[in-house]
Amino acid sequence: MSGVDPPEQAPLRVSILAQGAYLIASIHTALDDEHFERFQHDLIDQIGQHRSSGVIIDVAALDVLDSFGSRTLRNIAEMARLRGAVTTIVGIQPDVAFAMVELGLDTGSVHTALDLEEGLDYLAETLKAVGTSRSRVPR
Amino acid sequence: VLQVRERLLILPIIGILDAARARQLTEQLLKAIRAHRAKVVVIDITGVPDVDEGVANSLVQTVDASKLMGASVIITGLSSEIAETLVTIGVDLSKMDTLGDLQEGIEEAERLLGYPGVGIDDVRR
Repeated sequence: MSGVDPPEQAPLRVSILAQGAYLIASIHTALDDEHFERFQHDLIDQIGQHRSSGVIIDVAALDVLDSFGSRTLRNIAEMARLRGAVTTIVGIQPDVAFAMVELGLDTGSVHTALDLEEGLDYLAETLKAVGTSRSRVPR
Repeated sequence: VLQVRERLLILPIIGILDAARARQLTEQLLKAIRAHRAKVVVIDITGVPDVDEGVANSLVQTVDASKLMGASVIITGLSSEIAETLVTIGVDLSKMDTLGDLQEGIEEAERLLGYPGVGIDDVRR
């Protein structure tokens, strides 16, 4: 965040904000593999720090998502699940979605939503269902 | 691509689908999902006389891409010929929601969106 990061800690390209029980991570620019790994590490770290029960990863600013990126997002969701948080990926652009299916990429079992608002709704609903009882809330 | 209810889109496909047309449809649909913030899409293929493997696969891609954008897709109006063809050529459609006709598709979509259900029993007095 500060402008005087040490050289190996290049400026952050992802902001991770704690909002109540949720963590909202928005990716601002294209990330290379190294950035993705750092993002993954930071995010998983912060789930513990903030005791988050939900994670939203906003990829609206990305105009490309390659195999490494989508695998990392899948991994993050799996790691978050192990640490007790539900993950949703929001804001995939039409072109990105189309390119992903053409390349045979997907987000596996990770839920995706149209935008941040939808993602928040999804988390609220899912966590309510888990919190009160095991039965799913009827839609 | 037509909007019939808030957050519900219908995409009627009429005529022969080829690879180029399927691709164009997918692009249009994805843009419309974004523009209308759609949650459910019903793709009606009653007017499609025949499909081949390529077209079936691009339908699967359309469904997957819509899901990435947070919309669920229901396919309706598969004719018996198309159903036979699809199973015979072995396209994996296990991920797709299909229903008999457009009416059922819209009813299911409204249920997903949480509209009060109107069943056949309510219509028959």
